[in-house]
Amino acid sequence: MMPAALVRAESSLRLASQTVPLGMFFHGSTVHADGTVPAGYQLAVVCKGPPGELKLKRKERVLGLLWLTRGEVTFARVPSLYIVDTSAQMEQLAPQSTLDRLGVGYSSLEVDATDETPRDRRAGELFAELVRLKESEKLFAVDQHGVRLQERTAGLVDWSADIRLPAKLLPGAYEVKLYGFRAGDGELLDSRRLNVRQVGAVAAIQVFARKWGLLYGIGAVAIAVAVGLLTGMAFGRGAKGGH
Amino acid sequence: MSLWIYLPVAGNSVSLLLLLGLGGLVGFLSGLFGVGGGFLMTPLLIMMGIQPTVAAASDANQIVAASASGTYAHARAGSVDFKMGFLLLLGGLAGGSVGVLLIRVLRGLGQADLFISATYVIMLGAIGSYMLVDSLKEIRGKAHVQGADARPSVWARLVNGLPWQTGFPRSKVDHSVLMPLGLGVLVGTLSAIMGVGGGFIMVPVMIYLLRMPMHVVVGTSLFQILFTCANVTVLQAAVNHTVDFVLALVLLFGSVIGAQLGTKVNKRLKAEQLKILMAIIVLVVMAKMLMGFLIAPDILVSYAGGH
Repeated sequence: MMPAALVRAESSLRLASQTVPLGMFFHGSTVHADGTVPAGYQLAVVCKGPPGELKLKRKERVLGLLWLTRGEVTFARVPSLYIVDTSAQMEQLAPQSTLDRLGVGYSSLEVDATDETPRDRRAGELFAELVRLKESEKLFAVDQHGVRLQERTAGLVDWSADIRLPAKLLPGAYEVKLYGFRAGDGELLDSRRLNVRQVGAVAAIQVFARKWGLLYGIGAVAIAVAVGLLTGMAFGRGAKGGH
Repeated sequence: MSLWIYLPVAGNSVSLLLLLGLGGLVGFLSGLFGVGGGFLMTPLLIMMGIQPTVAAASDANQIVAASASGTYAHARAGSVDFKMGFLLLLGGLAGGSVGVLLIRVLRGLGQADLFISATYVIMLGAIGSYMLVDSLKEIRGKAHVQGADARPSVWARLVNGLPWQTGFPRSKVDHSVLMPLGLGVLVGTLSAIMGVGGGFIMVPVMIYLLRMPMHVVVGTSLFQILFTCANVTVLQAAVNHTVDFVLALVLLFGSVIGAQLGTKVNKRLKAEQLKILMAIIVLVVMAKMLMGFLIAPDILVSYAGGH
């Protein structure tokens, strides 16, 4: 078997773009990733957003009849985005314990998400619901045929994947990692940073809202009142002219 | 031109045409009935994937425009009772503080959500049913034949016995200043508990308890909503940074035009027709909420915040 250092040296991960700009007309994006790996490996490409604490409302059945919000559940560290593309079914890549150790697949997120002091018991019970919520927003996704492999000469394989970024995307430093699997074992082969940042008017408005909140609020009200009154006057004149 | 727009504070991309249409629809209802429409708009924005806290705060921002537009149109037609509106507003601001304190106490007891849900369904059901029955009676010409005897006389005695009676010429009624102040506190408390602007509670209160004419009710309600939502917008922007002005701007372009159309239709409809339509909308919202409580949700967790 090829030594791990040599495998990493012969493996590569390239991103078509290192930066994703969030402009006024952004509506999701696809980042093409490709590279080469030694022959015989199955692959997983994981794109992960910055982690953060997440508080969610939880619903429970009350009096055996009504579904009501019954307090909050806190997840300790949940990535803002988690997209996995693999070249084979997840269970064919490696044993679950190996996938969890590397951070490939939803169950690998559960420890970080529910590991809190003091531990929120409900976080463990509701982790599957968190995944379903994130999947419904396309912020979590697994495509088990998302990585394409193509044999080439000299014992190397070309691979490629399209990382689909959803319309609901927050700015931050994202990371893309390439994992290789062979004979039930897996390892990190390469990684790249992907910068998602707001640009132009979107960035200016966001900075204004964060740094000068009071002024921003007063300005928002003033513009709303002005637009309302101007429309009222325009319609008023139109009505007069009509008579 | 792209038909999608990225919202800087919400961090989400949404359909431009859908937002304009949504703004137009809710603005139309606002101009027609004198309600802010938050009880309709905020859940729809959340369904579009916008965070509840940003949806509620930005909605308040766009209601400022719709209510300014509607207030202007009604003021030109002489159908805004500024004196009554100002007193209701003062009471509403005080009531809002009472409601927030009450919710804090109930949260401490762990019963807040049950209380809020029950308040919602009972208030909407009672208001909608009463308005529907009352306006059907009016249409059949039976108004004031019944019901004007027993309770109103007790109510009238109580109301007439209050000090500081004053005239409200625009509404053609006389009341103690304590009436609009007290009712403002009541509506403000309920609004804070339910997390809505309160237009759909305030309108029936003006019609049935303050006995104001329907067309003055709508203009006066919009006048009051203008200030309530301006206050919410500034506070949310300054404290929580949850106002997405791009979202509000797109919504308000739709809503100010909708509000003008709503005001025009308002002028063409009879008071009892308006009441019936309002009653139906309130009952539909109540039924939808009730279904939401009875049907098991697809996902047992959701983002916090919003109405």
